[in-house]
Amino acid sequence: MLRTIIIDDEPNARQVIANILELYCDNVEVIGQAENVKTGISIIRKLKPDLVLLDIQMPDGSGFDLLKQIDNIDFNFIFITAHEQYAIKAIKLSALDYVLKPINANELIDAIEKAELNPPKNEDINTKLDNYQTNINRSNPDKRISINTTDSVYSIKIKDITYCKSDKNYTELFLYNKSKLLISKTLKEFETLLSEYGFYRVHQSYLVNMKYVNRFAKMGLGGNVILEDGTMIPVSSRKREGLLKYLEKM
Amino acid sequence: MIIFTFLIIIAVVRQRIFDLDSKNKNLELQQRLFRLQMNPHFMFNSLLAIQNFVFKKDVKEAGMYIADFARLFRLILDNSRSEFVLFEKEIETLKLYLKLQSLRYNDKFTYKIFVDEGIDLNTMMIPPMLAQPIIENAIEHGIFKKDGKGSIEINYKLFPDKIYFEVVDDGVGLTATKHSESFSDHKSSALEITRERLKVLAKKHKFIVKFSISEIAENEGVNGTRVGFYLPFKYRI
Repeated sequence: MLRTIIIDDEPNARQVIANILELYCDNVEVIGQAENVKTGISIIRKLKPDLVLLDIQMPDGSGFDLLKQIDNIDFNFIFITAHEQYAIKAIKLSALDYVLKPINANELIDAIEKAELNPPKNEDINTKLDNYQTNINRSNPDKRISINTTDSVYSIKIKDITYCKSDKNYTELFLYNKSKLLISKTLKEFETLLSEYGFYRVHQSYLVNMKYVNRFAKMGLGGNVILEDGTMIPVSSRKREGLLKYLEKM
Repeated sequence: MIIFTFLIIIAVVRQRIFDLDSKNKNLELQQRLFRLQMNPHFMFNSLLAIQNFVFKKDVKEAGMYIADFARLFRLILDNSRSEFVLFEKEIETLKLYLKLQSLRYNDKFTYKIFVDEGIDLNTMMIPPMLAQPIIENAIEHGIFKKDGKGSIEINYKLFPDKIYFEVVDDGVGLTATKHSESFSDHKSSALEITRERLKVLAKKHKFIVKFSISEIAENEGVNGTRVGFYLPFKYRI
C-alpha cells in the first residue's frame, strides 16, 4: 500500500484526487490531507507517507517552500497545478512530476505508477529540487536540466550541451567539455524541453545548440552545420530552409 | 496653392494614421481584456469544482454549474466586443462570476450587489467588465487569506452624468496582500489594464475617473479594502 497525503488549498482538488485514487488505485491509501504549507509539514512529519500530492501555490507559500523545510525527503511527491506556466517549465526541466487541474485520471495514475517504480532517493531528489530552485528564478539565465541515468541524477547547465543525437529510444548528449551521456529519452522529448533555449532540430537525428554553430556549409542535399569545435552535423533537406532563416535572425 | 494642397494631404494622412493607431490600440485592449476575464486559474479551478460534483455523482449540481460556466463564457465573449453593454447584462455576468468563485472557495464569502434606485437596468449601459478584476482581487487576495468567512459589497451609485462604482471587502487588506508572493503577474496586470481602460474611456467620454484604493482600518487593525472609481454611462438607443 502506498500511504498517501494530499496537500492542496482547494478543497475541490483534494476531494477529486481522493475520489480518483479510490476509484482507480487499489494500492493507494489516503492517510491524510492538508490545506496549506504549515499543516502539510506537520502531517508529513507525523504520518511519514510514501507519497505526497502537493499543490504548487498555496496561501502561505509554495509546495517547494514546504519541501525545503523537510530535512530528509524519504517519500515521492507529485506536484498539482492549475496554471502556473513558469513553474511547470521549471518542473519539466528538473525532471519532477506533476498533474494538471482539473485532474486527468490517466495522468495521475501514470504519475503514481512511475513513483511506485522509483523508490525515493534523497540525493536524487535534492539534485532535482536544487535544479528546480535554479530554474524557477526568473533572473537566472543559466537554466539547468536534470538528467536521469540508471545510477543517478545529473544536473547539467543547458548552455553546456552542444548537441544531442538520437539513437533509437535513447539520446546521446554531447557536452562542451567533450563528455558524453546516453539517456533513455527520445530526441523528441529533448526537443520539446530545449527548443526555447536556443536548440534547433536540424535533422531527424540531431538537435543542435545554435550558440555553438560556427557556420553553415553547402554540401550534399541539405548541407551541414559546422560547430565551433569543428564537429560537422548533417542538415536534412526539409530542415534547411528553416535553419537558414533561423541563422539569419541570429 | 500647391503647398496648401500638400499640407492638406499631410493632415489627412496623419489623421488616417491616428485613426488606425487608436483602432489598433482598441483592438489590442479588447484582446487583452478578453484574456484577462478568462483568467486561467479561475477557469481551471471552476472546472475542477464541477469535476468534483461529477465524482460525487451529484448530477443536478454538475449539470447546473456546467450551464453557468457556459453562460459566463458566452457573456464574456459577447461583452469583450462591445464598448458599452446593458447594465442588466453586466450584473448578470458579475453574479455568475461570483457564484462560480463562491463554489470554488466553498462558500468562503457572501456578497451583495447594491444598484442605485435611479439606475434603470434595461435602458442604461456601462462599459463591460471593469468590475470583475477588482472583485477578483478582493476575493483572491483579501478574503482568501483571511481566517474564516468574508463578505464583499458591490455598489453602483448614480450621479447626474456618471456612476460611482465601489467594491468593499473585509479581507486582510492591502499591506498584507502586497507582501505576499502570490501577488502574481496576472493580478497586477488585471489592475493595470483596468486603469488603462478607464483612462481611455475618461478621455473619450470626458469624465474624471478618481480611482481610489484604500485600506479600511478600525480598532487598530485592518478590516478590509475599499476600491472605487467613476464610470460613464449612456442610454440604449
